[in-house]
Amino acid sequence: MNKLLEVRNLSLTFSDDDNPVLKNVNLEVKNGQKVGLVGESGSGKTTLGLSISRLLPSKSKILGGEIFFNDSNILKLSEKDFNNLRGNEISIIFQDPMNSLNPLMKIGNQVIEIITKNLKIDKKSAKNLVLSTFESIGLKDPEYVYNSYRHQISGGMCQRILISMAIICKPKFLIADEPTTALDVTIQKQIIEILNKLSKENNMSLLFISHDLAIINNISDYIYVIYKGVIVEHGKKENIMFKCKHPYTKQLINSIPKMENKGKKLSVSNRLEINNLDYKEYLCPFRSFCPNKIDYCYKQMPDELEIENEHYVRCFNY
Amino acid sequence: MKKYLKNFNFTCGLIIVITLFLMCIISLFYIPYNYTEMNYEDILQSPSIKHIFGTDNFGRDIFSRIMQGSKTTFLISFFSVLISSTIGIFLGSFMGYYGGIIDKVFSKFIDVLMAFPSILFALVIISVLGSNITNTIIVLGILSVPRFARLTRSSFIQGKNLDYVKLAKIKGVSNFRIIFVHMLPNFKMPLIINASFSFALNVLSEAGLSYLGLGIQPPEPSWGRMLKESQNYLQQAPWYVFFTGFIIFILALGFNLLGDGINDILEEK
Repeated sequence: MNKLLEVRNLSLTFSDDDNPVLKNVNLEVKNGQKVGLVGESGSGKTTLGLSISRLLPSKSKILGGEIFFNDSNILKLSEKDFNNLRGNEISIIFQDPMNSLNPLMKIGNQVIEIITKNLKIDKKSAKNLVLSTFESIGLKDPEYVYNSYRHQISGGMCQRILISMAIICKPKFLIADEPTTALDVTIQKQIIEILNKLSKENNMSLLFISHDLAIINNISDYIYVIYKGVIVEHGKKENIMFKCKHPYTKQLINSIPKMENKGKKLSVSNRLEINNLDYKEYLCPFRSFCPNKIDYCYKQMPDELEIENEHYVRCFNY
Repeated sequence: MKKYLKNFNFTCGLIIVITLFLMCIISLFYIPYNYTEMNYEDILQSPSIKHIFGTDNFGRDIFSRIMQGSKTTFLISFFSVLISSTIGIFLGSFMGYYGGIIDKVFSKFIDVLMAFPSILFALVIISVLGSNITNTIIVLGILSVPRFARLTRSSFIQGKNLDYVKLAKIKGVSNFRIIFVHMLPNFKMPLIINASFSFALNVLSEAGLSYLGLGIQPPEPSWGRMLKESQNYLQQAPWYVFFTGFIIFILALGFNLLGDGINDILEEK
């Protein structure tokens, strides 16, 4: 499998050069691969997703690094060239499905816009394409949904509509930014199944961003763990979920409630609010709370080490 | 619509505006008395069955003159609101959506326009271009642009960050279409309210300009000029002043109530 997307040494800041939100992030997605990006609130995972699709707010500044999509640096493309890419080959779905739709436009009209901009087909066949996509994605009454407004449909249906909007042009790469966070668990399961099916059928790569390890486990082949703008560990799903090495990842995995530990106290780290100083220096972001920290952690940022095949960790303990 | 009619302000305003507008429409076809005909026998008659608002110093029926003047008032106010809203919305939406240098440059223009005292501005323009209906419309139009521009601009600055706008950008929808098809319909309410208030303001401004002699000249009818003429006969024929002033007041009030009513409904949501 060859590389579809490669983020190389990306550093990004929102305010000033001292306070980067992303620090030397390296991420790779291969053709047809499903990559999960897991991290807590404020870790920078959404920012990473937005920077790949170039939707960052104007006050953001890229301090360094490149993003390669199909071997071309998309950060260097003009707005016009990138617009052809975005929506067509790179698609994105957001967290809040209801708010992603315009309240004053019919659903069908909104979905059809992506077709008329990217594919050159007439309105009637575009409408048929939309209806058939709605049906394949599990919407029971495509005609009704086509003609309704966003306040007339439920959250789960909304997210399916957004997914169909994202996949209708058969993109090579889909960024899903916490698509199931706003939905209940039964719908979550259905959405994950849809995404799995689509990825397999269309050989579509997926970058699934979430804070929920359980969902990441269900959908990804490869996992990246991000903390405060630094990728601390990444590897094959089995390696991360069962053989994780980084202290932060270990705490994340341990904090998932398990049936065997019923009645026992949940092991959570003794952490207070986010310490802003941790952002500033280029050192291991977990150094204040790490149970295994050493003096060297305060002097230098650890390099990425290959622990085993398809398993990398950024920690001085190894 | 029902919830609008339930609001007292809105209903009152609507009744007033519709009544006066009907009067304007009817005046296109029928006016009780020929307003130019001077009837020296009947000068300064108090209101009677024959002349409901009385007669003026030339014997002309005041009610007919008011009907006649309503055409001018509605014409001027309508077109000046149209001009100011079109220019203001275009400007404000581009400023808010694109930001950057467009925003900075036009903000300064608008600040200058707002800093200029409006009567002085009108005086300058009209003395250069001449006082007629077209120029009055232009002046009043330009003077109302800043409010529309600022309102639209603030809506668009916030609206830029909405999820469905970001999604529209991803889909590859052209910026023009995003502004006018996706965003503007969602932000139309404050603009409609402002248009209503602007109408009221323009009625008063036009009357003020005509009162000062800067607005429309005879023989075009104008409520403001009528008010000026009626001043001289305040003691002899107070009904002249009263009815003229009242009609200006009630039309402005009507539009204010209309705008207020819509604002109430919007805030309730």
